[in-house]
Amino acid sequence: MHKTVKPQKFFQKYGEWYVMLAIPVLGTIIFNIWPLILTMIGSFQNTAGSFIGLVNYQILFSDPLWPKAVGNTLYMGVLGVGFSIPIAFLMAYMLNRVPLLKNVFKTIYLFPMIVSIVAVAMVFKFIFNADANSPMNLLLQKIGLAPLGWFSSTSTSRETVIIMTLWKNVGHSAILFFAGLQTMPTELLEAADIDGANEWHKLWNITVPNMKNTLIFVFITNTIGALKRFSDVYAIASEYGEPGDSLMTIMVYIYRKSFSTLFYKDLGVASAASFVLFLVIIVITMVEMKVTGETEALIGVSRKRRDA
Amino acid sequence: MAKRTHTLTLTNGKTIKVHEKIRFRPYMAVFYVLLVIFAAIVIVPIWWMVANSFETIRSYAFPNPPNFWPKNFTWNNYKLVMMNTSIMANLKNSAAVTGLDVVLNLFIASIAGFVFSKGRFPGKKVLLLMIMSSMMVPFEIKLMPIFNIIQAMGLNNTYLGASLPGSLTAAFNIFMIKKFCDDLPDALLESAVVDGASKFRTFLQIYLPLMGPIIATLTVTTVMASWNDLLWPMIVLSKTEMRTVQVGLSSLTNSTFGPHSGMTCAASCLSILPLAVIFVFMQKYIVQSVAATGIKQ
Repeated sequence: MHKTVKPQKFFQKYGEWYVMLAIPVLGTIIFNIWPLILTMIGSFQNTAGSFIGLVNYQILFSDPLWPKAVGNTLYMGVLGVGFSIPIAFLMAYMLNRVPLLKNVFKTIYLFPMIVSIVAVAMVFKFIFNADANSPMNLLLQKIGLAPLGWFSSTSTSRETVIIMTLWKNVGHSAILFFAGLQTMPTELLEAADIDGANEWHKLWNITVPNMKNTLIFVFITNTIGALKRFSDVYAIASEYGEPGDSLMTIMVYIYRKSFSTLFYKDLGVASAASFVLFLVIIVITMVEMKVTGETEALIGVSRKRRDA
Repeated sequence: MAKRTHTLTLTNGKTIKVHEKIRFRPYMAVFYVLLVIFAAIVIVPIWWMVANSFETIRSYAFPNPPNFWPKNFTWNNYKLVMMNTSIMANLKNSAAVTGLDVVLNLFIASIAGFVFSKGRFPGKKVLLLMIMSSMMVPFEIKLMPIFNIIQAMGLNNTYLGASLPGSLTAAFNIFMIKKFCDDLPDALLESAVVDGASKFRTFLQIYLPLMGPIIATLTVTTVMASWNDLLWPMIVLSKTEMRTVQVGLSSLTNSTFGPHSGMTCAASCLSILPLAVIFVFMQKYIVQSVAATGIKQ
């Protein structure tokens, strides 16, 4: 106890644990920590590899495309999260309150999850075609509205992408909410029934407060996902971000600056943009940990996620 | 009046059936109508896609108004897309990447999860925190450096190169397996070590077989995420013959002079088919997996 442990003994006792962790530890260094450092360093370098201070950040912030990319990402994020959470919650709430066929509905709602965004985009490009005779425009005309340009018009392209992404993802959030609702103690609702509370009161005063953690979890994961928005806009507009840069998001901007074969590439600016995105996401993650107490969970003082 | 049947198992081992009468209330009718509308919104586009993949279409435009049942049934779209595009090779590549992902990812994650749960050694918390840090750094912001590293290893345009960056930093899966292992008894390890078994053998022979449920859950989520990934495979598997199905389909549907519309439908259906088969046979399991992990694809 009082003597320092000899190296041989130390390895005899603990060595195997370290050997078993070798691959994930090395993997984390090579594919997480090191690339992160490289991104940070790269944001202060020019293409030739010499340090140029904050020039890349200056170029980034004076690029007229960057505020558009940020604006589109935020606008689509607010719209997407703003619609998906109430709709998903409504679906889960209704599922929880009906007696039969729950599993059938759950299976159907989850099915879009397995359909890749590329295939979804192919179908939605047809349904939401700008042609006056496309299925969606025919529907609009039937209820007396003018046909829209959908994906092809700068004023509706972002909203149409959100409709498409909602179709694909809302069922997933609904299943998470449903799982949360099922862990909620039924006594509370029964007591409210006896007190004669109406559906609306039960929803606002009992269900929503009890679902706080699931709501925050879904909100944060959806928000981070929205900041990294790439696949859906890429599936519609590839790296062009068209029409009129309206589908240019932060990730499409980074992709274009790093890998494009059609546009001017600038790795320094791409790194700067990546690093800005990283800082924003880290702040949001920190807020999540503060609010839900997930820090403990992360450092392994095993505390089970209460719901979700 | 409808009845719902529950099967209960009593303490003496007998099972009894309980019939619960379901009282329908007015609000349920409203809820069912809305639930059916949501379900229809989900089903109609997929139905349309499958129907049109079997339709005889000779133009680049789809039949309009949309048809939901092929008027002239044909397998031609499938034959054409298999003969004229590289969709079958793309599917093979996707299967290889997904398979490799699942095996590497879950093998590494189950060892690490076990060590972090049952191991007692100096520096455990620091190492766990380090590995968990991957969860906070989105893959997307490290794209270029990771691509350079993979290229320096000579692994670009290989399945291994597509799989390694993700499967060696699978912090979420490690976290889930650690959580599961925390509920398994420590005594199994202690007695095995007393008997002279190595820690790795104890893991392999005693703990791994007990991890079935969590490994199955994570397999489902890993397969779905891996199969539908677009950004990373597009970058690392840039050679045409190495493309995964998502990348191949994306170049097919985005090209101006692409194949006719029946073929794009058939290609989309083929890209979904493997996961759809899994989904149909394991639907209950997938719903549970999603609820348990909350993972986003």
